[in-house]
Amino acid sequence: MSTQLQLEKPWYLSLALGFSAWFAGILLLIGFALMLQPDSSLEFIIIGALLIVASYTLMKLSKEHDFLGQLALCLSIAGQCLLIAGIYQNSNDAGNLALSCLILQVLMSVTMPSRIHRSISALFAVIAWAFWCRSLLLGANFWELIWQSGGQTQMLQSTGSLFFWWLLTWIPVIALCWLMLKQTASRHWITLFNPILRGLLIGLASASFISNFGSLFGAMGASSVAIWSLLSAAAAFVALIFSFMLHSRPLMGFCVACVMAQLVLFYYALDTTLLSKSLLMLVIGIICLGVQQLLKKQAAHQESIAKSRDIL
Amino acid sequence: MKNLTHDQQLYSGSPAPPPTAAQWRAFWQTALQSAGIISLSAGAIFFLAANWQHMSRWQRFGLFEALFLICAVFVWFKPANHVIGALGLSGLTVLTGVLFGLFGQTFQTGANTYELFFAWAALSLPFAWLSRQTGLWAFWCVVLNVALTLYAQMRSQWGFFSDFGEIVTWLVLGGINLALAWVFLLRLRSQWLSRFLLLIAASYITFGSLGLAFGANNPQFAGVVYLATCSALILFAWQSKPKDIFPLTLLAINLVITSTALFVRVSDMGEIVMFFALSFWVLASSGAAFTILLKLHRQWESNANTGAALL
Repeated sequence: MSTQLQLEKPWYLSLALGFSAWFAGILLLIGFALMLQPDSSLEFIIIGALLIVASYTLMKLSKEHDFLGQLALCLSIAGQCLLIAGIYQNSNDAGNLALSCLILQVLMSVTMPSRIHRSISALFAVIAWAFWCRSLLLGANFWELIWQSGGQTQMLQSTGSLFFWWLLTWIPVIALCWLMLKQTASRHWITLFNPILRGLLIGLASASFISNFGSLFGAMGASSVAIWSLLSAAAAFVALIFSFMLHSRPLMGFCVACVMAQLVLFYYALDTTLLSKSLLMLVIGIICLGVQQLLKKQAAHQESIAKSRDIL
Repeated sequence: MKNLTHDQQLYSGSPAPPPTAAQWRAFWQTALQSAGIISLSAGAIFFLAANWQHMSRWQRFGLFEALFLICAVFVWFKPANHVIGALGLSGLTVLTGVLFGLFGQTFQTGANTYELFFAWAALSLPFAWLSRQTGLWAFWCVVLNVALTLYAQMRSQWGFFSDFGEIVTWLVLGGINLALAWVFLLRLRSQWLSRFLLLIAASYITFGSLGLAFGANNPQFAGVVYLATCSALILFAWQSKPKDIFPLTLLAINLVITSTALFVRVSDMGEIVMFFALSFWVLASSGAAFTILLKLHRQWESNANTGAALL
């Protein structure tokens, strides 16, 4: 127990460490790109792979040395970016790019011996998964995939496939989170699955709008559709429940912020009138408060039964 | 320690026990109550937005004043810890600002926006006080900070990197938030609210210190104020009970950002060397700072555990 306490690292310290390594990784990536000026996809892939191998070795060596761990994370980020750039240059297909990112991130989250790395990789795996699912529906033009147009959204809405697209993308993520949550109960798997699960939960709560970021800058993407925002808010709520089961208050706070962000997107969804949206919210509010009152009464009833049993 | 493999050492925690029935009940109570209040409020706002254009001036005022009265009645008859009382106090706090905004929009008073937020913060202070809810206090703090930021922006007119007085203004705003964080930690014993305010304070301080790093006209005075705010963060960490490294982490982040900005400004390296050096500097400074912080955290944790065991 004392060993466990000694090894405990506060979440905000891990967050700051991850962020600084990420920032340093970007700087390092620019430095390498300027210095080596790789031309062919093979050069990109070789440099990227070498950096990842160096990062893995450093992580194995670093153990308790935070600086080496940071350096390793930074090298890995630079390496992954170069590797992905090489793959994209080779195939020039955004669908393949998303799939390659997904495979790479899954491998990274499983193999890299660093909690922060596992969480970051799991988050990026969810984002890559969302892009890959989108590429299956919308084709694989890079910019169309990133900046989903109003025409594409309307096409999806008119065929009714938007709803199924959401289910196809996010139900597997929810299922995976649930499976991992069950596995983290075992001491044997907690080392591997706990950080991955945290990354997945951040992804589940936020990736439905991170992967639709065109809509945040005015594009009529899926986030501008009411049903998409509502379902995404529900997903963030599911992530909140899972975070509660993990006893993670910071994650819970993040999930609540994501639910609120989805509510704002719901307000700006132009496919539904404000009146319909207001009625829907009022109905949801009444149901929530009603169920809450029922639960309260039930709890009070159970408490009184328990008290009367004690008296008897 | 020897029994753990390297991979197991990376994760220190033991599996979290599943929540108990009482914890689940408390979770659902809070989640459903919050979701209900937020959904109803959102529904009301959406409804108003849908009909806003069709409403006359008197209808708009009448509606909000009626809502205000209804909330006041809720508060009169139900205590603040009851869901209805809490809903009433939250409603009163929000509606105070809405009425100010509506008044300013309808009669074009020509008042500055920061005056609205200051008045909102001042008049809703009793509601937050009565509610004793950390959520409502957090909302009140956001309103106050919007007022302060708007005031500072109006004073600086967006030229805050050129005049030392404006840099000092940002640093002072950081100081005000530090003081608020301290008060909330002492009075409400709310760690999350205190940390939220510390985060706001650190953002203001970083804004000011970046101004210093990129060259203020009269850096001496601003430098002294900056040092004072940094000292206050250190003091905060040491005086908290239990001792907390969160303020020190914010200070470390601030120092890394400010020193990186200074590095960019002062160095005259070539482009490639510059990127490598910057990357190394960010890693080295953050790695060193966080190693020290982690050691301090472990020391404080073990001291706290020893103290608890002795008791």
